[in-house]
Amino acid sequence: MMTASSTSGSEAAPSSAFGRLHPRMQRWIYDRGWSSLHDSQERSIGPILGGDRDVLIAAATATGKTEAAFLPILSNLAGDTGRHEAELPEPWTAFDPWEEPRTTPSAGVQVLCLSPLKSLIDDQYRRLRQMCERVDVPLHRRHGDIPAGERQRLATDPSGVLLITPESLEAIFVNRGPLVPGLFAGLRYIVIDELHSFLTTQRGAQVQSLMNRVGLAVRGRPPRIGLSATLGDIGRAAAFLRPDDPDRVVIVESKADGRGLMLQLRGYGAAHGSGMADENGRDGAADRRRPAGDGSPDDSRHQIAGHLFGHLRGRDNLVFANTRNGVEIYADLLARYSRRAGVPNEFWPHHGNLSRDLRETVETYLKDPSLPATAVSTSTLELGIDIGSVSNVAQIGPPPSVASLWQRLGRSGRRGDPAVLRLYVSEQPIARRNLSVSDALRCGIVQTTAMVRLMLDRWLETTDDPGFNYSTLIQQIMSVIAQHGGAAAADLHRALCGPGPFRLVDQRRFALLLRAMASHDLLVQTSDGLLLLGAAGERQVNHHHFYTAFQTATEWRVVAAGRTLGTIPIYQPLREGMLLIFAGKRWKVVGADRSARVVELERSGDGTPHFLGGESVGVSDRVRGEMADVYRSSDAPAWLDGGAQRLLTEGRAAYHRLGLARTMVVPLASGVLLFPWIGDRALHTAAIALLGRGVMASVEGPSIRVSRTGVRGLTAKILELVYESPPSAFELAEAVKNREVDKWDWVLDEALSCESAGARLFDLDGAWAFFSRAAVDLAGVGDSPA
Amino acid sequence: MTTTTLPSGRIRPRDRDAIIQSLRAGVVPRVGQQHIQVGRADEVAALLGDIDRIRDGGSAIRLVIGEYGAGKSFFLNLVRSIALERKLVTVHADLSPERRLYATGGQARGLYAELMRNLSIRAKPEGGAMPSLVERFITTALGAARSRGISPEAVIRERLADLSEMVGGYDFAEVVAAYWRAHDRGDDRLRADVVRWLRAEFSTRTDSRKALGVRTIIDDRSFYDHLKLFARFVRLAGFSGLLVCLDEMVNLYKMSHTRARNSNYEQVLRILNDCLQGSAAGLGFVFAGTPDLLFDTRRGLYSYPALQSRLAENTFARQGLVDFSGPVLRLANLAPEDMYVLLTKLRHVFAGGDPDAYLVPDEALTAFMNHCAARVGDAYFRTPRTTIKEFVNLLAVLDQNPSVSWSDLIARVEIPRETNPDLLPLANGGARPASSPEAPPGDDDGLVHFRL
Repeated sequence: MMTASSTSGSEAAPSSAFGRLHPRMQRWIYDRGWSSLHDSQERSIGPILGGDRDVLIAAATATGKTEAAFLPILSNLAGDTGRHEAELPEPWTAFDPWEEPRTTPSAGVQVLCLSPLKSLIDDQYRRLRQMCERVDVPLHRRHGDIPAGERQRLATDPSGVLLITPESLEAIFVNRGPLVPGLFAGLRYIVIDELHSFLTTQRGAQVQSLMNRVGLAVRGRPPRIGLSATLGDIGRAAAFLRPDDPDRVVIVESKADGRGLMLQLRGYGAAHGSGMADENGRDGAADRRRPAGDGSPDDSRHQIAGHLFGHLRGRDNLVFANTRNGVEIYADLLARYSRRAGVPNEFWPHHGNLSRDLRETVETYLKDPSLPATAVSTSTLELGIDIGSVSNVAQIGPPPSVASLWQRLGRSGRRGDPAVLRLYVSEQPIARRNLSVSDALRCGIVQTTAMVRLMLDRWLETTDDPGFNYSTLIQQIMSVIAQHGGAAAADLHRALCGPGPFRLVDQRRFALLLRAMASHDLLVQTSDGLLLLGAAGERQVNHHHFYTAFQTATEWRVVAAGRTLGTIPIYQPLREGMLLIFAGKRWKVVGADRSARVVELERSGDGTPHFLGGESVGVSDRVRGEMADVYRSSDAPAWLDGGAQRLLTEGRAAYHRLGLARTMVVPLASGVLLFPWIGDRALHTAAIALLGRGVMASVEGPSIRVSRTGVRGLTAKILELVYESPPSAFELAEAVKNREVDKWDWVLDEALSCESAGARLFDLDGAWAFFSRAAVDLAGVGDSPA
Repeated sequence: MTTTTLPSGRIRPRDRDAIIQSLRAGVVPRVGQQHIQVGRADEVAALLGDIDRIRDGGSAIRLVIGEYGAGKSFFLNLVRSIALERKLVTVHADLSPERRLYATGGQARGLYAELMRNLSIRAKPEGGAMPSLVERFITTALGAARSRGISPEAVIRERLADLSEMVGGYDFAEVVAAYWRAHDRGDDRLRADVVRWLRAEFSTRTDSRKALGVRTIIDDRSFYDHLKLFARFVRLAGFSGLLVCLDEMVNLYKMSHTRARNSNYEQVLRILNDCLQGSAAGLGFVFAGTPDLLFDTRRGLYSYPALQSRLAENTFARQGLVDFSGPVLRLANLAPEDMYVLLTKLRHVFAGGDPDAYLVPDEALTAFMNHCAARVGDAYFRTPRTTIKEFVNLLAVLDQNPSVSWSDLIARVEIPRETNPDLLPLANGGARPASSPEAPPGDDDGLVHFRL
């Protein structure tokens, strides 16, 4: 039997941190044959062992973050012999039947580990089981797929380490509220796995609220340990981990490379790359279903599908297409390739319009390791699919955000394999007649390039402005009420709206929110003031859908002249009079019905439609800035294929030809295009402000298109705007029809809804800064069309 | 039995201390309630009738309905002490999220276990009387065996025979018989196991079979059947009947799971039917809850149509006409005059029943009430618990600091608001939560009086 001291003398350079681990943990390290600890492991041991500081471990995947956290945690737990002594049966002679019965003190869960994915939990469970066995610490896991027997084990003997999804923890609060303090009585650490995936999402707000509520239930502040990918701005992650004291979070950042990343961006539709499709014509089915709006011709689709078919078959993969139409088209193409090749089909569509049954079948295929399967999915559903790791992740069209690239990349290449990310972007062939300015600029390929560059720089979208998070707050209010069997308004506000995701909600807003909830019968009040769930609230809470805080984007039905044209997700602020591109035509919004989610359109005669951008959620300022940078530089990253490189070159040529390096203004025959390279929030805010001045302005990809107004007219209007004080976001939001985005937003009354949507949708500072710049640029341009 | 005039004569120091201690802790005293009882003569008389019916082998059920702080728990304890005097066995428990009438996750068994832990007889009014009860059964059987010259086991079997035909009765009889064996052999462990079984502390059949050889346990499903069985057993042991007191029934109302709540109401209906039809021999129930529990047609007992029709109040009993014979017994709130009487009684108890030892004069009582009314409005007499607590605390300070004047102290009395301690912010460790400028901490008035 080795002892720690004798072996540390013989081994090469054992660290001081190593010596502080429990001997059985040291033994476990030897048995794995590790010669040294990783950098992040080395540095995290001290602060975690201390047990009084929050620790954030940021390192690449597969550099042993899990071990970095759990080696010291388990060492500390192993030092706790109290639990085992408490379990020794008392001799029966000591039993006095006339006394109250002795209840065995159960230690309670000591480490709560929140993890975003079921598959990740199963993975962690396998990795941690051996470590936990070494020190006799029980290991539990809990998520939607855990069988009743294993759940029972946690209920009867809560102890050791618990791996759980936020949703399952929410379920415990709702259904087992009175047991929560006992369940976590011995809590010593809260671990957040994949912390970066929770930043700035409704689910993240839920996780922060749950951590807070666990603390309240056990009346303590157990240290929080965050495990995160390396981020450009690690301070955001620290603020997420401990909102009331981010400066005391110990940050252990490791630049060590993890598993590799294999990356390619393929471009289609460049001048030299066109016309090589061998799949021609004759598939009318696809033609009829083709949404003309996305503008990619059939042959690039066939080329993309052909490439996917050749490289993805035989493994588990995820393919993301940005729209449901895209999903259906590619799934159909790939299935037909399979039929033609005489092989079983492995490609399945997966989106919100499919029945639950079909979706679950696809997920089962993906989970089955013996069955290769590829899900073709919309981006909107990515949080909903929980299927574990896949070998390839493919993205067709520009990704919605850099954060979603991170998210998707995380799905690929666990357990040592490199992550594989394939991006496909198609552009209009340059030969096509009336190619628009945006098309000529190759915005799709440039945006994708910019996003990948930012991702490689370890950047992702985060925000200073926490927003109101009313949607998740509504869920948390109902959950706390279910947990305690009723709560007083003041207690609820104190418990939920401290530092953290709901800090902007003061008492006045909280009271408004409670009344809005009561108006929908989510809440009722007893005669002594206690708030209870109303009939509708009970129905919600009793349904398992209640536990999730996020929802996939809802789509709007598009109607013109009484005829339904289709459904689309609408992300930009929707208001009457604005222009919308759908089904290859330009439309004017004449009305919208919020509750039925119907938009009424009429044809607008303002020319032919053009590039629609990445159909994205809202491209951020930073991405647009990076795009401008991509245009201005001349190098081509090695991960662009030939087609993509040619497209990039074409785009850069157009950029310089239009003079966009000098000015943002492109005068047209009957209007103006403005390229300010700012984020979508500011763009939409500016467009709506111009609409309010009677200027026909609409957002088109990265630009604002102004119709029927020339440079001179526009200059006058913009100067008016610059010299007047900007309206409030609240006022702008009042005219917006699609304010309800998050799961519970439908509960909000007019005032709360406008306030919350205003803060989310509009960037007044950005828009007005743009107006000032535009005024200068407009002054420098004559009134002659390009 | 009860009177609104001051009881004459000294109060035993033991009773006095017990009462004062309970009141200062904000709980209802378990002994000596008569010293601080105010009003309620008709209500008590109604319950006396119920107790007599139970003694005669009948059954009874009452829903005591009153606002928070109307004195429901106090009333329940009073009834319980009367029942004990009349040779009934009482069990009592507060319902909670973990103790329900019907459940599938062990909460009904939890309630049964709590009831049996609180089992009281006259000689042991404070609970824990299960062993005494079983001993009593065995001793009477032993006596009978001796006089008839047959084996005690045979007598016990004979007496338990009529239990066997009831649901779960056979195994129940087996368990009680095991107690005799343990008694006979001096097997303490077996004795303890029997008591544990009777208190529903076995959670698995396997454990029960290993320890006692019976395959059944008292579990969620058999909760009510076992109560009926136990009522029969109580009579076999020589007591007059069993009174079950369930407080905090509002916890059923608060349950957020609709189906689970309705299952509990169904259990209430079953008990109600049995008791109103008289088919539960020697068994009585007293439930206590708030008006919300009863009258709320969306989630209260009235939301269950069968219960609403049975519990509907007598429509003639209005405008001063009363009917104390229905299952629902409304406890009116204490009026300020009642509060005044209560304060005089508290003063009396504190002085150990000696008017010469009163710590404050009558005008101090009025001043105290005025002060409270100014501080928290009329809530002070609607929820007397905290008011009583503060008054007793005041007396305690005056008692130990004779130099202090009562008028100075009254001005300093604070009636704290009741909050859920689990939702209060954490005060210990780390940085204090930075207070947001919009909501300064402590300024909760906007939400304390919040109405939807």
